[in-house]
Amino acid sequence: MLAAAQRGERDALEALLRHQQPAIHAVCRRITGNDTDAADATQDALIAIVKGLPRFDGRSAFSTWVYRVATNAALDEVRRRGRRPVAVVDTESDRASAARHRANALGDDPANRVSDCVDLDRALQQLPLDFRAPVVLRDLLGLDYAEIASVLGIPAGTVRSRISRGRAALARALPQPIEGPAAGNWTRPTDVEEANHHD
Amino acid sequence: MTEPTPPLDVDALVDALVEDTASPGERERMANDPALCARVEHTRGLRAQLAEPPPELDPAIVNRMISTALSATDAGAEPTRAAPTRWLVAAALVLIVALGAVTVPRLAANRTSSNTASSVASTTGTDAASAPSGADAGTESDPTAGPLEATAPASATTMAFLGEAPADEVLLDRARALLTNPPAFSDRATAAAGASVAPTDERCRSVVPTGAILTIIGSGSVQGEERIIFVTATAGEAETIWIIEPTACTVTRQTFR
Repeated sequence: MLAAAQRGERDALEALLRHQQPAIHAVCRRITGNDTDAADATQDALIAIVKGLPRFDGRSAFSTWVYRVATNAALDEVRRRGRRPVAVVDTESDRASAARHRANALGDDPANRVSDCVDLDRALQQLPLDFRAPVVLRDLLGLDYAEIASVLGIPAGTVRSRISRGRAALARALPQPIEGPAAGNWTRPTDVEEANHHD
Repeated sequence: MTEPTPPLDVDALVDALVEDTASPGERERMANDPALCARVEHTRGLRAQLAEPPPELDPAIVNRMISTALSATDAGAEPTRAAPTRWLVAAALVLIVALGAVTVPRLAANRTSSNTASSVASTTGTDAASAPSGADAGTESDPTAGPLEATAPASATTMAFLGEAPADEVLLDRARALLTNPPAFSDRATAAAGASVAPTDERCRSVVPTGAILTIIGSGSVQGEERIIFVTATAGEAETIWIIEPTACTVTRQTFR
């Protein structure tokens, strides 16, 4: 399919884009932190893939290249909007999206959930981009350190360090476990607080 | 208070435990340390949430996106023809950058900080052809104008130089200023539309050798496609221009003295 797409066969190219689109969007959504920017970044990434495909030389795995394109598109989108890490768009669409996701996320065992999706998005947006991208690539896509290094163009050791620091920052930004022996207690926001947030 | 080891070590330990790469001794330590155990579980919970893909896009939106992306192939030339065109334009860019790199540091040095401050506020794209360029009168005789006209289609190429970088913050200020009000190398040199520079921008930085001293960073576009521009200096005083396509980090470069 890839070879056919590179030759410009439209059906193959379309199938390729459809196959990759969910992962591209997922990366963009997590990095940008909101639906609107994620959609813009996803569109940019798809266009970049179409334009760049003839130049793809196979030195890296195709998926790695796609993730690089998606990550760059998402980072570009964040920078283009001039957002600082703490800035979070909280549109109606985003809240609805988060609520849908939260309903799914809380389905198994709510008592053990340390956070909800809204919190997670906000915490992610507080992470510097240098930390956010590797954490997303590792924990969302499950890429190994070497793949992430290839995607981001940084050494694997740097990837490991940034993921470690990024996760630590996320853990600090989200509700913390109470220190001491009572490790099972969490200071997470209650659902009432969350309901208030949604008006 | 409950963690006797330095924070960074604990971060690494938590990561090792979360990633299941911890040694038996480290696992035993977790088993004996409720706070550490709680933190590991907390991080595992975060990972589990991050692993869940966000809601998918509406199929109609996906269809529209893919259709738009596919139309990019219709709008562009065939790959076999597009490549030489890009290289021609890139070659023109190299000429501009090479001569500009010689003249801009002098111009940048003459720019006052007030010029920088007043330009930072402007983030929308401007066309230097319509903007006053009184500060750049010296570039009117720029010899790059001739060759550029011969190789680059009008308005196809935009270029912005960001000046030398004595310090990060200074670089950023100067970058924004020069992107919104670039020196006029020729009538082809215009501001990069919507240009901005972020301190964390490391895209494609890895293609530049780590030993090189980064002196100038900029951005521009070739036929609407973004390019990142690095200018590096080495100990031998040779300078290298790096024009980089940011999607795949493909490089066009030229070294000169």
